[in-house]
Amino acid sequence: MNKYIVKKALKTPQFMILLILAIILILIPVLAPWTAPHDPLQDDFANFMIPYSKEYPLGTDQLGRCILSRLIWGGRTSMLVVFVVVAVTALFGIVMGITAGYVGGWVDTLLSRFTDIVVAIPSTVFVIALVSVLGQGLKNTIIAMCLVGWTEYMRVTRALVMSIKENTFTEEARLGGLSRGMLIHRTIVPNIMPYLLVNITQDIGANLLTLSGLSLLGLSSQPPAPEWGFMLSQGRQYIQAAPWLILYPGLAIVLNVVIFNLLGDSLRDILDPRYEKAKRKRRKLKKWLETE
Amino acid sequence: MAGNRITAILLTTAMCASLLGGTAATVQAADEVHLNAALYWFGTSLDPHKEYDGWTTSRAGITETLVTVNENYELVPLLADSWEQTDETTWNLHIREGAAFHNGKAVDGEAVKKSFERAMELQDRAVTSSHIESIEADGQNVIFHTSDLNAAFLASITEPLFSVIDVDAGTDFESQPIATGPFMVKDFEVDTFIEMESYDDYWNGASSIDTVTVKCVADDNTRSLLLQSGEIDLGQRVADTDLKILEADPKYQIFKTLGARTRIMVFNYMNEFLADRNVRKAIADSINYDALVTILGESVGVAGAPYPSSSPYGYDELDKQSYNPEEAAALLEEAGFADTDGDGIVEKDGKALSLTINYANANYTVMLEAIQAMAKNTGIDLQLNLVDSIMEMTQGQTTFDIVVTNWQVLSTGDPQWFVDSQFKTGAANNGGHYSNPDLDALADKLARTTDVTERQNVTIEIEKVLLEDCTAVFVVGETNFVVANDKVSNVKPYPIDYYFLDNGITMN
Repeated sequence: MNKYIVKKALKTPQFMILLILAIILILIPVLAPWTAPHDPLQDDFANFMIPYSKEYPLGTDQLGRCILSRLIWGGRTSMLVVFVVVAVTALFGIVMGITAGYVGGWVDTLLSRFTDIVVAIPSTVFVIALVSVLGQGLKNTIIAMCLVGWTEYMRVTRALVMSIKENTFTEEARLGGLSRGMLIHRTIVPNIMPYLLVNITQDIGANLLTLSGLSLLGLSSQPPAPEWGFMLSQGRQYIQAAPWLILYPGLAIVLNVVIFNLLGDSLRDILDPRYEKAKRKRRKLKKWLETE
Repeated sequence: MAGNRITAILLTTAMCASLLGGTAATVQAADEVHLNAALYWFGTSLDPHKEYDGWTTSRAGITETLVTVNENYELVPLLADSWEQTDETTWNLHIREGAAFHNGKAVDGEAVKKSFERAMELQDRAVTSSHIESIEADGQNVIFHTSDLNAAFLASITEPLFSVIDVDAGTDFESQPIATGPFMVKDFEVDTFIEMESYDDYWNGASSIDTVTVKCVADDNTRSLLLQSGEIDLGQRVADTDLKILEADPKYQIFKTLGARTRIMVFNYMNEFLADRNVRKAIADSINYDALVTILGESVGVAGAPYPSSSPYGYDELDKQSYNPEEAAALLEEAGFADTDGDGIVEKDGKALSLTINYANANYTVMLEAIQAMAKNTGIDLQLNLVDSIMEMTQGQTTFDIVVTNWQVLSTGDPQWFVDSQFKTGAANNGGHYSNPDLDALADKLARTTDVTERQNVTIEIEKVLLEDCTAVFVVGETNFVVANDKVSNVKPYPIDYYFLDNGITMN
């Protein structure tokens, strides 16, 4: 990350707003013991399914538990799973990609074909099948999502490394006597990271959706632990009588997915000058077409 | 722009045409009375002698049995109009004159004999529940010989498995059973619909409804949505939260009765903790039954005893399971449990009292989460595990701590089947390995007792043993209800849920 990028980021209000929002979205669940007004598991049979009250700002669920507290604690589960999955898949995928792209030859063929095999199976179906085999629960969900999620990183990294490898500065560094490890560290990683950062940010939203989907099917989070997708699946039964039971977890998922995706988009605008140039060109072309 | 306008005109024309077409279809259907109904489950075929498929044909009013159970759990005539027990093992039933199959063939003793023999050949359950050894036909009479004295014989043959069909009809029974009910099958698609028309020569008076579509709608919420959208006129139970909405709206009617299904929590006696009566009783005591009913709404009623309060089996005089947290705590202490590490869960010899509840019905999650929270207040840790099927557990093929399921406890209007299949030593569904010689003796006594009052007394004795041992927790009883819009009248809610459509239902 050089000074130029940081400067540019600071000058992009859209990015800064999204970044602050994303940090807030992460901080609220992380600080759950302080931010949540109630114990997420504390039932209150005298006050179940109330839409709004001073004590329960977002109402209570079918067992009288505070929905706001459950959303905040649920966010903890969701975020933890998503960040673990993204970290593991990104690390594994990037290492595979660098190896395949840099070493090339039969190593590349082997790794690429293996990736092709994993990619060939639709990922959601694959995850559902894996969780069904491994058994329900968060741990198994994380394992299944990690086993499937790394392919995109591997492909992107491989392509990036192969293009950078051909650059003159890489060649010069090699001729200058830099060891293979140092070469990767000094010339390749800094040049691929900006692109991958965009991928990583956008992957957060995608993984959150997958996790919520699995919980909705009852495969992931187990009761009574709060989790957004699971709250949706339980609230579904009360769609007419207590619509807020699905409204709030639904909004929480949408909000997180949208913000992390927009953040990724915004990050790409900043990091990739080519992309911005292309956008400007498109805009110009459109204007020209309209005036003609 | 001109292109857009043409498209708009074309679209409008198409819409008008489809509207006109729709009207034409409605007019055509208006001169016949049509009912749309929804069931929550279909068997895989319409052959009443396969698995539990007869329950679907019974609900749809396609098939009938010889004897049936009314809303007071009394045995009343259906295809058989009279019967007598000529000796301990012989039952002589007279088939009513004028009853005929959907193909016009009269129902006689020979036809009934063939139908029963087919059921016994296809389903082991037919023999184990009825004890039938041989059948004779004599004109309009059919004579059953049982292998031993089975006091519950008549009750056992009310199960839709013993529906009478014309075995010689030559149709494919999986889609076209030739039976005796008020409705005949026109078309059937697995898990989707049954198209039926009224059987004009039905012995008990043909239905005033001409055609019926029965849909299979598994989701509780979807059934109420379909009723609200007008797609169905009549449906089996809906989610209790939707029930409140329907009740508030005068456009809908709800017909309710406490059903014969009880949700039970079965303990495994092989578990080191659960082998101790104190632990079982502590779990039963820690559940706030009234709170459960408040949470689950009108779809359930208080249970606490094996048989529902609407049945004649001494519900009021029994010492029922009830909420008693102080006793629960005392029992745990007596059993040697104490919370030594302060995590809220009690331990004994360093082992925390943690048990797993297995269940297969996702609709139970709310109820079980509540129970989980209640038990935790007493220091018992219950984990929930939603599984595909609990059959292997209840049949003792795989091990478990606790299973929560529901049983049609008075499946044939009679208490015996539930005890015999669930609690007798070595019974088919006794996966928890409960064994009490007193109970076995009482169950055998029940099988030999024919007098109605005496049967009730023996049943009460059995209930007392089960409650004393705390063999299982009888969590809540399920309400049977039928929802309908204001076009439908004369709907009867039956406590036993394999009755639903009959010839009495009318459309305004």
